[in-house]
Amino acid sequence: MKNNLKTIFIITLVLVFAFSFGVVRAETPQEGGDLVIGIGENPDHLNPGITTSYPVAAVTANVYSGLVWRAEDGSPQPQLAESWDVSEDNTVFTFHLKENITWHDGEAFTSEDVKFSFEEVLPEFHGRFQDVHEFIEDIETPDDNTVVIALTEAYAPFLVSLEVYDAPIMPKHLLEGNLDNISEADITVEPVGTGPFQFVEWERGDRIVLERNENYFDDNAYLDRVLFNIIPDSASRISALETGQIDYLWGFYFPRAEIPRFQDDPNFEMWQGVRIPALWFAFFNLEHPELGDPLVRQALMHATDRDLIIELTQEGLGDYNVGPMGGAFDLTYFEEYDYSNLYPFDLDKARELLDEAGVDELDISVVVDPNRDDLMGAAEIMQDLYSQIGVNLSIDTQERAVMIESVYENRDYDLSLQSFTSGGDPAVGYHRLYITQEFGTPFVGATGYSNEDVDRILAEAATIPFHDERKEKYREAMDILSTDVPLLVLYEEESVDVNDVNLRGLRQGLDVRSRLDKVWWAQ
Amino acid sequence: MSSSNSGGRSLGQYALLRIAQAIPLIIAIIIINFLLINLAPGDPITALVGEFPVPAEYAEQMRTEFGLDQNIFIRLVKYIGNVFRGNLGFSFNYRIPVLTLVLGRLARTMILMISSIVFATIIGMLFGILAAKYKNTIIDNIAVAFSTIGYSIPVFWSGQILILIFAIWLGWFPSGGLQSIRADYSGFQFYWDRAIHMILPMLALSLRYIALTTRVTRTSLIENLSSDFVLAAKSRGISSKGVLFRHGLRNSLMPIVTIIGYHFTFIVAGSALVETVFGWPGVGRLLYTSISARDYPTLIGILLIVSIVVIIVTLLTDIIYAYIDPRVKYE
Amino acid sequence: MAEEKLGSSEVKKIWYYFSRKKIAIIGMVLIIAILLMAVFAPLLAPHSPRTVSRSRFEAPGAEGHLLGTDNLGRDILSGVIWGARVSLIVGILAALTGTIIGILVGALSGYYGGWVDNILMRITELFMTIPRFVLALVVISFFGTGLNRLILVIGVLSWPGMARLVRSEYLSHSNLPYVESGKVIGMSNLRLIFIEILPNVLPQVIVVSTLNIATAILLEAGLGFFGLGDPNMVSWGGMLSLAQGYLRRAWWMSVFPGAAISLAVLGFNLVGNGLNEATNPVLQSD
Repeated sequence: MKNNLKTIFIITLVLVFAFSFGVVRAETPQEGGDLVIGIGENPDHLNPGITTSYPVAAVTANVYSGLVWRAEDGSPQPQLAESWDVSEDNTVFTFHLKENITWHDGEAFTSEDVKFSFEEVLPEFHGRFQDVHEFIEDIETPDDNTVVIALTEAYAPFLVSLEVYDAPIMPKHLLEGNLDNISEADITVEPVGTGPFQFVEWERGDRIVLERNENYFDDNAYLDRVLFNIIPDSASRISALETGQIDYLWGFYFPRAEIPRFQDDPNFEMWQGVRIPALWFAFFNLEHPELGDPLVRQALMHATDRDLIIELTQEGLGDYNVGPMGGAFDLTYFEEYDYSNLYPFDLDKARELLDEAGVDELDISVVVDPNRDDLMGAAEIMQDLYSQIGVNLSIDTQERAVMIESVYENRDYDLSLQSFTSGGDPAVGYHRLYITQEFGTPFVGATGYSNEDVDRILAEAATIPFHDERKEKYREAMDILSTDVPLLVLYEEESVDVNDVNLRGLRQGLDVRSRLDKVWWAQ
Repeated sequence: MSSSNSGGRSLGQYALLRIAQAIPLIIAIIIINFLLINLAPGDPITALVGEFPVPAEYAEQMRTEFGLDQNIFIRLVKYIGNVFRGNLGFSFNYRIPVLTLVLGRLARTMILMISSIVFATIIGMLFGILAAKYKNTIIDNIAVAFSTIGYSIPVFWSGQILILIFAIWLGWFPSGGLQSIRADYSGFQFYWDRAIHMILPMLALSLRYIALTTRVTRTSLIENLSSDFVLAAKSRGISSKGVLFRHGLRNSLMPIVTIIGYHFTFIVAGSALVETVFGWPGVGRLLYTSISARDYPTLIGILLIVSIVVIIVTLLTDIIYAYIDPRVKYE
Repeated sequence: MAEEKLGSSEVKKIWYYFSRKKIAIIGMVLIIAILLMAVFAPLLAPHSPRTVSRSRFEAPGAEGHLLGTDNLGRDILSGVIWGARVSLIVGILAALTGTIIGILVGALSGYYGGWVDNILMRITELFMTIPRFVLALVVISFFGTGLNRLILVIGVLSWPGMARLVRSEYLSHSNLPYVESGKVIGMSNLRLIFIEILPNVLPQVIVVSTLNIATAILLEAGLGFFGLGDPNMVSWGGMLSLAQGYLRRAWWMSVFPGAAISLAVLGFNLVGNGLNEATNPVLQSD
């Protein structure tokens, strides 16, 4: 009897030990393996300091580094900077850089690289950093590991704009003196950074290969290599994912129509959500005789069934309960200025407003990029709906380069469908849509809308670092904007990622492309 | 083609003459392409820099770098000079010289096209021979019907149907792409993998030409087999099989060669469509992406290189034709 | 005086030979069917082809949707019916444009000969060398799409074949007695070209035109497949382009429009072949 008990005890002990060991083992990050990510286009080059294009940033986000990175909740976390002090008035930031950081070619990384990037490289060539740069008064580097940045005034999104997507730090020793020919510089096609992965090779049009940086200043990555395979055809991309030839597809490259296919498949993990809000909308050209009348614009808002558009073009993923600056930012969302409350889908009401405006029949066109399935779908739905209230909407397909010229440079259009990223803060991405803009610059508001109050309110909102106070400013702005409706807001995007079910550690950063060093395979 | 001096030129001289005739053609093509593309709206700069407003200095730098700020005639003259030196410019989009880019893709497209042509010729001739042999029977009727239908089906639709049946429903073949991405195959496996990926696009592309070749072979065999020459040969006791092969086929080769040469331009078009359906990374796909990206140098490069390939093929077929047909004098 | 003029007896003869070939009649039936479909589209189509709905990806046989629906819930059958319009309009008008240009070029070339012939033939050769479809792609995507442009581009690109044919006809006719005598009695060149010779060349021209319609339809579908068709009109090529992204989910988006294109092209090819054999007695021996 006693022997049996003892045996049972030992066996139980062994089992418990084995079980817990097994469980623990499965959830401890393991080193090794390759991650193959599918992207849908060939990056123009591999220098994130001179462009804001999605695929370039995607490939280089883990090759280069920023002072900070943003965690899932959006808060800035230390990356190149270990810590930072902020002055009382929020205008002076002192960054303490980590020690012993080296570039992939062996050179030491110092504060000089930061100063060089922020003063000479990024303001010249990087579209998003330019906005930040306008607030920078001075940059000092008292020693190799300290950078002091003084702003002209408080800029609310300053810290969060220092991630690798908006402010990648470039190597001074490789770019100094080369700035006149920066697009020809070697590092534009053979990146040298400080990140957890370093560049191995780029087979044009085929794939880009990165491998683990063994001298990374933080904990080394778990993966041996990361490969980006370029698959322009979405059907092939899906095939590749299904057959295991690629492991991961970001929402940007995942055709929504395929959601049903992967939803219940145990071999795949599907993630849905909003990380960095992006707004889908159409510009109204306010110079147009009829469209210049707010009644007409409001009528068209009533005539647009945004729920239907989401259902048909985004597989039901997206939020149409949004206001002029979307609905994902608490800062800018107010129920009383929610478009689905102010302008619910109502064709009769739309017709009424048109009559009130004295418009019987209206012939307008909408400019769309034919390569964007979601926007083309929206245009076709709008065409069908508007035809029921006497508005003939014709679709004018223009490739991106042509669209940029007609919409932004010449403002020669009636409506134009677009999608804009917020960049992580309304001041970064959305303000530009509503403030007074000159002709000519692409990817800012092109409506011709100019309202002094809005300009002032938004400028103020950008400088207030305190949430509640800032929110009140936005309330004022939303009040004006939701009546003027200079943009035909459609919806805010909800993203879908699909990956092999055995991958762990994905999506730890706010931007899903970040922190591939935290990814590992649970075999 | 009237016959002039009976001494005539040699084949070599004929070839040289044809080559010389091709050069003004090439120059004309260069000029047309260049003018065409530069008349088009849309600024290539903005397509290059991404989603956010680009600093003005950078735009200017790009403009100078790519020579977009100079007078169009200067650019044209420079361009012609460059072409003859083998410099076709630099692709905005891919950051490598256009010549390298296009030639790399061209190889893949040529593999597809050539295997399609060879396959279509062989199968087409087989069907054509059968049809001619069993003239006016059910076999013949099927062959003719098949050939007319095959010639009417758009190549991109047959591609989609092949994918639906063989890749999606039966799962025998991959639905697109050049090769399996992940597996780093080598040696035999590598070629086998590539071959599997090539089968469906090749079938799609060759359907039309099988149809055409069948018909041409059939018609020409029927014509030849009933001619007096053949009757005479038969009366001398040469077997009908011998007649078929030696006389009939040899004379049928000529129209087939002509057909291929004439249709080569269409095969090029067909491959652009097929490449899109199957995601085959060749020149056709490059053409389409270059259009969206307003990649001017690449576009001109593609049009030029493809036209030159067509000229070369036409040249070759003319020469081969002259070689095979003893009736032709070299004009 | 005019030996081979196209009189009513000629037409009757051609019809006689034509109608004997069953297969040519089938082609004719196909063309008529598609023509009717195009003309009576508003009456025949159960829905408007551009009406979106929440019933997406319905398989064929679903209620109210005999051939199913697409990704935006639009009825495929209605799309196929209405799509005939674009294909026929572009196909016929483009072939017509090409024919007119081809006749002009070929007639002048074959009649006058000499340096006129030389230059025109060089130009023709040039256009035959540049891959037609590729050139059309570039032109349309640069200068914009739209029905008129499509017709123009496809038409302009299809004249070389016609030009060559017409030229060789004119070459042989120009030496015939009736032309010689015409010149002797002082007929103007223009009259000879267009009033005397042209009617004799017409049968061949019609044959090639018919076949050119088939090719034009294919070209238009191809351009539509590349997304370069008119986005405001339903077209079969456009439907196939859309289908490409949904092959796994909705095979009917590809099968039916593609079949429609094939049948239309087949119709014109059969009729063209039939006419060819009817006007060329030589080919009737088999």
